[in-house]
Amino acid sequence: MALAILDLSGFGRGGVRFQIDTGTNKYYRLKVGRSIERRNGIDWVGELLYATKIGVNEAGGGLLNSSTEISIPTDRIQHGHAYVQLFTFKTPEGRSPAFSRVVKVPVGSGALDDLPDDVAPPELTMSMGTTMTTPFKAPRTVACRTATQAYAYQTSWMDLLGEVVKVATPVVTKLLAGAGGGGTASASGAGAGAGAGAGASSPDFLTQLLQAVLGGLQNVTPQNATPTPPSPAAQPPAPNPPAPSANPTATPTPPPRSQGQSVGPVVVANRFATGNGHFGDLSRPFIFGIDDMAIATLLGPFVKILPDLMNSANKKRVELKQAQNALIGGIMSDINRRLLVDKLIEAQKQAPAAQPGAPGAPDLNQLIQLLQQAGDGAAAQQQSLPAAAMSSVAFAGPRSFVLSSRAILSFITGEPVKWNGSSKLLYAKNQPLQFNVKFAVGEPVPQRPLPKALLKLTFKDSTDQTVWLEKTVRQKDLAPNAVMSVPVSPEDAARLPVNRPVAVLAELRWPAKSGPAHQALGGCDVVFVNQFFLAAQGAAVSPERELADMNQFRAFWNKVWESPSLDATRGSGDEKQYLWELDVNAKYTVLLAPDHDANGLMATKVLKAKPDPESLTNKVEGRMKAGIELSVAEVSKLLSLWDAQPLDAARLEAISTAAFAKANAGELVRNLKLRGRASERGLIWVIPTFKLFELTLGTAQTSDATGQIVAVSEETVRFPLPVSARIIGLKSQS
Amino acid sequence: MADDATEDSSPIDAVSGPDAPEYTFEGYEVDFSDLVALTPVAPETADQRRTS
Repeated sequence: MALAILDLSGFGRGGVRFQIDTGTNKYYRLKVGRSIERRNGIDWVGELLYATKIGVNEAGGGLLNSSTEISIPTDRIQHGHAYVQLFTFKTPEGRSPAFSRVVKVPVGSGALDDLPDDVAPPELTMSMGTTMTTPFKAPRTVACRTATQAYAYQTSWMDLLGEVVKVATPVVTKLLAGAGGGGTASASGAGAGAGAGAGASSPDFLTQLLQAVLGGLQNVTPQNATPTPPSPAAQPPAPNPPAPSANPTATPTPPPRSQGQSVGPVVVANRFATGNGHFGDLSRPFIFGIDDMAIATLLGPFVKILPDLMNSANKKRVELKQAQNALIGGIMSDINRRLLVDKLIEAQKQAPAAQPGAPGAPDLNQLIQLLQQAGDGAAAQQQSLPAAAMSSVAFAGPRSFVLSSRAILSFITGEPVKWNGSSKLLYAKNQPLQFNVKFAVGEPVPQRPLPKALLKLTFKDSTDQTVWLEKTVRQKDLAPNAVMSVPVSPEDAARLPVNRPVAVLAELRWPAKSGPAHQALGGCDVVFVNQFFLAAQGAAVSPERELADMNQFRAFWNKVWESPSLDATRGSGDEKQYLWELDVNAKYTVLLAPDHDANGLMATKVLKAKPDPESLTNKVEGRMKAGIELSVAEVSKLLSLWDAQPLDAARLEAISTAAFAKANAGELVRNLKLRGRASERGLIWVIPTFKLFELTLGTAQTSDATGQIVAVSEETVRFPLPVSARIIGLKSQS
Repeated sequence: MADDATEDSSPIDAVSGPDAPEYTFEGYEVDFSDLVALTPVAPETADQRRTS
């Protein structure tokens, strides 16, 4: 008998799948339309969008099974709902036609290519659901990853160097400004800081640097390792106004905050500056895990080392790219690292006065652990680095500059403000920007200015080393301690990212009378913002709300498991199984996705225990991983649950940040058990539930002439965030 | 899978509370329905949620 039976099977990357049965007819075609038209009491597809060519069903005419599965490319029906109808024929010319009922394909506004397989089993409906068009985009399918995998923090050399620079800058700046007596490096040549003892950049600069530190540590005697009254050299320097300069750009107005680029406790909690001797504060500022109390006792050796250290660290921050990062890690990962660890342990034994926990005791254990951790990370990075990338990496290059031993660069900025719960230097992108960089030179300050120099600012992503912008400014007759201004045009500023930390690295090069040119460096971490930014996250202010309506909130429902099909096609005789069973420890991860406008359903991964071949039960036993990536934009739409409007684009941008996403990622672990007969179908769904949280958004109230935000006004908004998940196990009714 | 998934999270009180929504499915029966709290990844957020 000729048939024309059409059923929607599901959605896949290849298109929309249908099961068709043509009976004794072998030829068929599908018609896709936008509506249903009723003529002569029969429903037909109307407003035709697409019709397939006549196809052949090879199973057609079969005695037992004349059905087959076909699919339609997604681009044929990707706009709104579509209606499909099957027509079958005995011959290609269209004899003996038969037609099916019209099947509605529930397609949202999103692209079908993003839909996972079986995203909408047509037979499963919720009785409490209402047929309404979902305002949410069709979810994406994403690889499964736990929060640990998403946010595991591997300390990189950039972090190490950034920390070294951040912590050491105030110390070095003060030493250069006020402890010039210690700076005995001889000045030669016309250039400031062109010391003969300048440490040239070398591939194993970290080795040299650490050895220098270790050398200093090994000179610690029981007498001078104990806390000593702050030496005059460590006193806060007198205000050091910029020296008169012939450079017209070097005469800015004194900003409210000068010297160091560091923000936070390093600036305000320096006990030498405040005279604060409270015991609990003594452990705050560290350089490579070494309390700066120890540095104070070692000022003699360190005063020579620190400018080198600063310039070396900043130079590497400028040069560091991902491949180089791996290479640096590689250098440290093997023999050098082990040697350094051995030396550290040796140094620890040779400094008996430096008892762990004692004030001023250098905590070498921290440094040892840091080196070991960095070595592990480097090994992992090396494994993932393609050989081609490795061979193309040139370390530092032969055209190295001589790093100045007495001059560094420091950024002159205003006070930081609150951003994502911490203090950051914020700049408004919608204003003209300018960065003021001080050429800080230690005693003895050369009398003559630098005839010419080149200042380069590099704006790099603090995490992935992406270079967003580079600005180069020529300098003439640059006096020591002069301030150089680098304006950033609106066109250049447009290339900078908002709401993510950016490292601004300054590099000054000037020629020497003979030999290689000299170099001084500095850096600071800033954040560029538009109209709004997240200042802080508050507490929950509402009860929990569940997204119980599957039809409305389908984009949040994740089917993490489905029972196996144990019908006649699977196994026979002794291999036949009659029951299925799930018994797994499941980890479900809920992440926020700030960069996507659709949710992402993670593909479930199962680690199965070895099955029992004799068992009549198809048992899935072991571990399961699944999860969901919640689009911040999609979550914003949930505000309608609390009778509120979704956040506008400007406010949504303020919270669409990696920092906000990380702060609100969560996961759960739960044992799931479900069992049933072969004739039953089992499903497990997971749906996140939300509470409303208060967020404090900041907006620039006052910016200074450089574009830095120095005063903010705050407003409170409410935003839903996931706090738990509903796990539902279903079985078909027998 | 490299990470352990052996320790159960606890279901939270709202599972059987009066405000819990009713999940019913045509043709299916609910075998279990648990509301399980998410454990925040960032430790500073954990404290915040615990007190809220």
